[in-house]
Amino acid sequence: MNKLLIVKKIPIAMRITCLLLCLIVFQLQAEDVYSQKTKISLDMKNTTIEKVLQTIEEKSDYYFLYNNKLVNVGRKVSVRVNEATIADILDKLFESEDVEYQVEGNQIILSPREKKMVSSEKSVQQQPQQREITGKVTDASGQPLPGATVVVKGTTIGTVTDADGMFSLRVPVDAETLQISFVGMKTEEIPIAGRTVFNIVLEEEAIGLAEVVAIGYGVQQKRLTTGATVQVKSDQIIKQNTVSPMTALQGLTPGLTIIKQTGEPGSGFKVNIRGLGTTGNAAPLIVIDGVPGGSLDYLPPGDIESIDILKDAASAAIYGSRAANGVILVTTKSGMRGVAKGPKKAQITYDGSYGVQNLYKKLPVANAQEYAVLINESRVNTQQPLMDFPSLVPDWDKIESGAWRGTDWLDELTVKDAPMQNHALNVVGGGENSTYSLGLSYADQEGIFGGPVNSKYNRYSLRLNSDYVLLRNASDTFDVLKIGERLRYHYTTQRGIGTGNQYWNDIFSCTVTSPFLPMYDENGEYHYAIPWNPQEANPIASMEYQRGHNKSKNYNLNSSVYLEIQPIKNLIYRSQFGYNMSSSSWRSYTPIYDLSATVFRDHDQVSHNMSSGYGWTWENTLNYSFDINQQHAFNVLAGMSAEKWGLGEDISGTNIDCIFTDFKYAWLTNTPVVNSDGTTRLSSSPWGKGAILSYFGRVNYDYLKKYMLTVILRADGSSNFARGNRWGYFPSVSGGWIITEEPFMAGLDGKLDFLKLRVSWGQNGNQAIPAFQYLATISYQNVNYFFGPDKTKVYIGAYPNILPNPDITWETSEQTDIGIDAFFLHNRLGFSFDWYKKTTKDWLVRADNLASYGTGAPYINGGDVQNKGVEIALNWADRVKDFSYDVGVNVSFNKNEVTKIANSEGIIYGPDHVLGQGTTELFRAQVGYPIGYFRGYKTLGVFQNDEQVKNYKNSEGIIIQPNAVAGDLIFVDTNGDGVISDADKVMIGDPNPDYVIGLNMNFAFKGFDLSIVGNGAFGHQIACCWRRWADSPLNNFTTNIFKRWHGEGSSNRYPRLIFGASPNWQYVSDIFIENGDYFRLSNITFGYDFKHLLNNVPFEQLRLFVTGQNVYTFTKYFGMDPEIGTSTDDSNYPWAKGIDIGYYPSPRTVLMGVSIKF
Amino acid sequence: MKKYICLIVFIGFLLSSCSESFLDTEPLTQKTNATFYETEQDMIQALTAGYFVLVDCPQDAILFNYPFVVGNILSDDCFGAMGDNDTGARAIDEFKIIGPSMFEGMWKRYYQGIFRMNMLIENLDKPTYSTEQIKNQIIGEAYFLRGLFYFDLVRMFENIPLVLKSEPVNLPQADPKDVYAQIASDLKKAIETFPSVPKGELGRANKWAAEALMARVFLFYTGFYEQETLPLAGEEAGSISKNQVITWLEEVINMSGYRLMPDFRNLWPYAIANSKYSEKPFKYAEDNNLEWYGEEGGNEENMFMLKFSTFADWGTSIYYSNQMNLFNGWRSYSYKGVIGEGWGMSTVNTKLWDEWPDNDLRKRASIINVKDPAEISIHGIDDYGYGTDPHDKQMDETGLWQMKYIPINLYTDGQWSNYSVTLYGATRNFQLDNMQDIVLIRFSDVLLMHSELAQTVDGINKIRARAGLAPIASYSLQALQNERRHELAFEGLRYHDILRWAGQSNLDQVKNIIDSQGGVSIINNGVPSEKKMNFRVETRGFIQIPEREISLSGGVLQQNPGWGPNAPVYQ
Repeated sequence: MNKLLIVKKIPIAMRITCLLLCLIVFQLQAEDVYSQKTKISLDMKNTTIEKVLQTIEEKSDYYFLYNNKLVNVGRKVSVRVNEATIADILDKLFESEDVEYQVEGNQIILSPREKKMVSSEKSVQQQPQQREITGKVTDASGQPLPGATVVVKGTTIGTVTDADGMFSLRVPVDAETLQISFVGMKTEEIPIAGRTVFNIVLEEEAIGLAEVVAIGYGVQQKRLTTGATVQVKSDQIIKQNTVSPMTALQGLTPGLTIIKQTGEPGSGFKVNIRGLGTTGNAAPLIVIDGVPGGSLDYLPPGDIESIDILKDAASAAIYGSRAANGVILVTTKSGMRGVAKGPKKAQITYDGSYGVQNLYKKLPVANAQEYAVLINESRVNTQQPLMDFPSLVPDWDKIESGAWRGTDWLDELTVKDAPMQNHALNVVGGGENSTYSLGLSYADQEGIFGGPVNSKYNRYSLRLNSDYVLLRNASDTFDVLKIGERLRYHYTTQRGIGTGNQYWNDIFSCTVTSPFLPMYDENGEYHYAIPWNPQEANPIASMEYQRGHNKSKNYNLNSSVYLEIQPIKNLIYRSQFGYNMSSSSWRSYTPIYDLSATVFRDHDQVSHNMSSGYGWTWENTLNYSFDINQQHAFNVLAGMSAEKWGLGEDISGTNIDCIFTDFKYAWLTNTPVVNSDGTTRLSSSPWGKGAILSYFGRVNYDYLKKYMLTVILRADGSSNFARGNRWGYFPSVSGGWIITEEPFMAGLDGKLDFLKLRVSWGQNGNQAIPAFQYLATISYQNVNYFFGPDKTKVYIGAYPNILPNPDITWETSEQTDIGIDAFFLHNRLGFSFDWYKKTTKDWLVRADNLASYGTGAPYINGGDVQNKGVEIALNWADRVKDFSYDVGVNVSFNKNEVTKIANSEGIIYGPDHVLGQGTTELFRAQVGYPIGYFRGYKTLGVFQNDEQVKNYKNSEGIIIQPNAVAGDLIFVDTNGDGVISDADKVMIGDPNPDYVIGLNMNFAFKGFDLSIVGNGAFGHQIACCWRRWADSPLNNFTTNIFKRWHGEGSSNRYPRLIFGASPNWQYVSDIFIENGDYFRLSNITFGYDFKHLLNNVPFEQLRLFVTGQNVYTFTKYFGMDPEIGTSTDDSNYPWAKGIDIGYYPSPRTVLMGVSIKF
Repeated sequence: MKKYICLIVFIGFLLSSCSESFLDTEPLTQKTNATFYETEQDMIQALTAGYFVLVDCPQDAILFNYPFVVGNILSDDCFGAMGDNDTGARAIDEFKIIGPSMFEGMWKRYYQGIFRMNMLIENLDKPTYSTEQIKNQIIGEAYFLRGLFYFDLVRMFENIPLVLKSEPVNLPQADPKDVYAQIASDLKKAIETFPSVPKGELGRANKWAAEALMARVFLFYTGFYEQETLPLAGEEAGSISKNQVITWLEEVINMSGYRLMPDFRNLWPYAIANSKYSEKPFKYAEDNNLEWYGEEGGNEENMFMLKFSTFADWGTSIYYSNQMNLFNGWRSYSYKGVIGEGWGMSTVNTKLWDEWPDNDLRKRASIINVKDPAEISIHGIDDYGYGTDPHDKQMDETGLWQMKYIPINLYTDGQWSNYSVTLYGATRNFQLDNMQDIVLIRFSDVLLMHSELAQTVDGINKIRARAGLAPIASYSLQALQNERRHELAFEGLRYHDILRWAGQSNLDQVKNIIDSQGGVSIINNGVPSEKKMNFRVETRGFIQIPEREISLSGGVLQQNPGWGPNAPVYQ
């Protein structure tokens, strides 16, 4: 049976093109008699001709083909026939109309009669004669192209090539030109000129160049863009089967750095484009379907049609206000406009997968025997008596005999085969004047850590996008009035374990707890602390009690409606109103527990908070495209946008003494006694309201599609600044030159097929700071006092909490970009290169002021940050017979440096106690260094003997470490003053990689497909510490301690063990810094489309696949995962990363799934 | 076509004309300086934020920003001690540093208080007050607090910028004389403005506290700087004479309503650990029929104190509880008893114990000696484990612990918990449930200051009588010094007494006293050792200016002598 051509897995713009072609494509068959034989009955009253034709199609094997602009099928008729031939019915239907029909095989072509008459006149009263032509379509290498479309230009006569690339077609004798097209190839037009046999060679279209990319408030042909942008298509994302699209984007997008904060299900990502430009919010602006301020974290991958990343200032400038960190434009799937007899039915797809996740690599810790030896060694090193294990450790005899190796707390924490599943159902379709796209999806991921209360993430989402044409112009050539809507709803629930700093990190607790403590007692209850360390609690129990009984829920509604008016052709006014609503709740129950001398709770506690609110945007744009003499093409855009956010409120309550002892009943109503001593707490507050008002304009110009120029100006006013300083103006200009269009480049086809040079410069803004920095606000937070005899009575205090900065205004990010796009070797090799320099000026920063000013520093426009880098992407795509493949590699180099902080210190400090209680500052931002660099002492190894200590002198002969003994670290006296002090600290590491690499490969052969995605980062360091060296000598050890110094010549890496504190382990030094280089095979997917085997199944695609995620990581890093996006306190220090004190790693996942298309 | 353009132009016009108001927002959970300092209530709240500074430790988890604590450690009463990784306390003790800005918290905290009071004083006339008395009370408290903040700063750091306005200006350090003149003027203003009523609300400054503080300032300034009078600020302002101070102290003694309480031991919380409150009473309290005077007004000796409460919480502020007591508690997780656990700070100098006559009841009321079985039997603490494993990270261990500010537990319902659990319904949590007020000015100090200034024995003998000691016949500085040391031990005063009794031209005397701690036997982390001590005369006895502030000032601030780049680092 012949079918209309449906093109799979191609971008929407191309898909629309294909659909238009489908309209006029059909195949010929030589069984004309059939229409005479087939008899059907109809009884329809007052229905459209269209309906009648559909009914005929249902009752017979015929398809109708017509152009609804030429044939009026909307006319209402009544038909009543019994066992009539189709010819009879058609005669009757069109008897009053100038419509004639022609039967070709089982396809019936309807066409207006007058056209025929015109051609009749031409052929001077002759019956139109037809003749047969045949031919073969191949690509440049001679491979046949099956499925290529061959039509007579300007008519509806056409066919598609068969499996051998062959076609035959009956064409009118007067046909002049054949048009041959194929996806990914340049369309060819060939004069018929009386020939009957054709050998047609199609040239490949440069990859992606014909595609359109989103540029903000519009689209543009990739070929003509002048900025540095990257587009990622839905299939590249979907086929990786990740829960978050961010995971799938890793490695696909040069210049976009994505690092997960933790590997916990539902955890966020640290995303930045071309390096950190600020210590504030460095995340790019995310615009989903034209509505700014969205989040990709909860967007199901299946909803996404494409993601465009605007990296350079010129591209992002149209979103000037918040584009300082770049812009990510997300387009969700919209419907397909069926033209007339377009696709008979909607396209329904289902993608589902199910799999299990496991810990990729465990952090090895000492077992009970090793631990005992290490502790006693540390006792000996500090001249302390050996431990009396039998009196302190239960079942010591079993440990001594080796019968029990102690509790491995990380094993107790680990969950094996944690399930994960993804399901997405999408229905896409449309009629002549309306389109729709409906998506439903569900994702469920459990964590690999958390033991009895493991982490869990659930997401339900719904998408409904539709568009309606209300009015066409009189000659039916363009839409005059169009409306539409985008609607997404997500509901997510989440439960997590502690992944923060050393006081709130269950993985850390498990690495430090002694293996002597058993998990359970004889009653099967959690074991109480043992005399060995009476304050040390069972970490699994404290996790369950303190963090195990909670649930957070998030509800998100993202919606927008638009109206488009096109009064004259190519002049489009568009108005869009977006409304985002979100709501969340968090509830927890903490029971009474008693786990050790210090870890207990006498009253249970219920906490509950809720938050709800919305924001809106309203955008109006006017867009006109025109050309002059078909040489100068212009696209002019002018617009305004108004946005308000933070229109919401929070409420929260905490109380003790619940009348039930179960999370299920943990509601505040069940804690009936209200206490005045601070154990009952209530609060509610409004969200921080904000508004932005913007006006913008853009001119895209090109001359003969050879020289391009884009100019953008945007003005934004932000509520974060005082009147007078509100408005920021952000210009940009960019140009492009397609060198291969020049005559002097002619003749390079097949070698250099395309070469474009791009240059851009622009400025973008950032206003992401807390509101009211221009006012001296009075704070009532935590400045209470307690006069009088009653210790349970509060007196509220108030104080001005910042010095006002009335001058505060926009931060500006200025960027210059020079880029090259090129295609070589018959477009099989694609190359793109970008060099950029991005300078953040008037950096919004909270630099400390003098303490004698008496209150907090406000944000000031007080610093500069520079990022410089190079991005290179190479892509090779080819096809050898049935085997097609492509390989893409990209690499991004970036160098980050703070160049100014506007106080005399030039430092923004990081916190103390990051690498364990008692350690000093680990990271900071400082002039002359990359943001968040690690600072501490450099070491020269370990003193092997006391002689070395005596000989370690500065130039003046002062012994630098007179108190040191053999086995202590040799600290570098960098300033040469003979003492080791704070002044000797230097940069000992940088968490920002020198370069990141992405790799993706796709192979396809007769229904089989294989894709491999990898990513890596190089040249950065990780600060890691899994022990509280200073204040907890009884903490367990990770096994890298086996490399410690324990006698001359034993080690030059780690110092001797000490029972207690010592500079060796308490000073922040490079012994805690490791290289973080890694390359990860992040996704391997292998699939087979059974449609190739089973032709008769009613599916268009029936693909089964297996996916492995986080398959293999090449790294020398000792910890569980080298990709570390956390500072352990991301709410206060979002600019720091690369710190591992018990990092929740990404799991290794194996998934099986199916993709079905109807 | 036209109508669409018109529509767009119209919309554009509409929006641009109201764009500024579209962008206006207003803080809803905060006032601003434009809407604050307008009512009496605002002024009281602004004052409260000043008091909060007294209990707040904004930057550090370690208490180096309490002059009270630092004074105790610097003095010859106590050692720094704590655990072996808590090097800060021992660094202070030995006139060393552990970092370039270890006193940042203190510096910052006091300037916050000064800023808040400057704002308040600048706006004093804005609101309408309900009564003149309330207005005078507010004015008095504001000037009192500013004076107190400056006094603490200047006696710790000596060279500080004198900030008297709320605008941020990078000021150089003032001549200490000018700072003292300002303190004197502020306190004089407070004394003259405060309503003359007895006592007043617990925790609030009043006329009598201001008079007592003035005496303390006078004694320190005239003693250390070797002057006759205390200057006042301003060209023509004159100065405060000794006689004026004596007159003020006599007002306190006669008119304030404060008095000496009959039993010294009942001033301290261990007195509550009797059989009435505890199923396992503290032998010392039980045998002596002690009964704590408490903190609800029954103690008429405490004139001005830092107030703590049940509201401490990790999520809000832990400093609503008395963190100093936690730090003074015993480093023991296995020991459970009357003395509560903590971080083992400020162990008592053995010499103080040895030199203190046994017939002074304040000796055993102030110090517990856990290494002497006879002493243990007096107090009934028998399983401390001196020098052994339960205290294995304890440094500077002498077996002597002060008993004035230390966690006190009661045994009820089958477990030991802080008395605050029984008394105030606090939640059991040894890190947060210490609530003993820290007394900054006690009436006995007023009596002794009066004795010292007037050179009479009246005050000394009242104090001695309460301690069960015979009166002395005639005044001598030595007798006064001994009396102050024993009466006010561990109350944050001793160090500055030592400095002022010597005077700036005689710092060797300070060195002799402080260095006498050297050679005392201690146990460090279970290992017997000797205390090392080196008072550095070049520091003049003052502490390091935070290097961060010097760096932030761009060199406008200067480091104190002895604390520059070569200051000894504790290792």
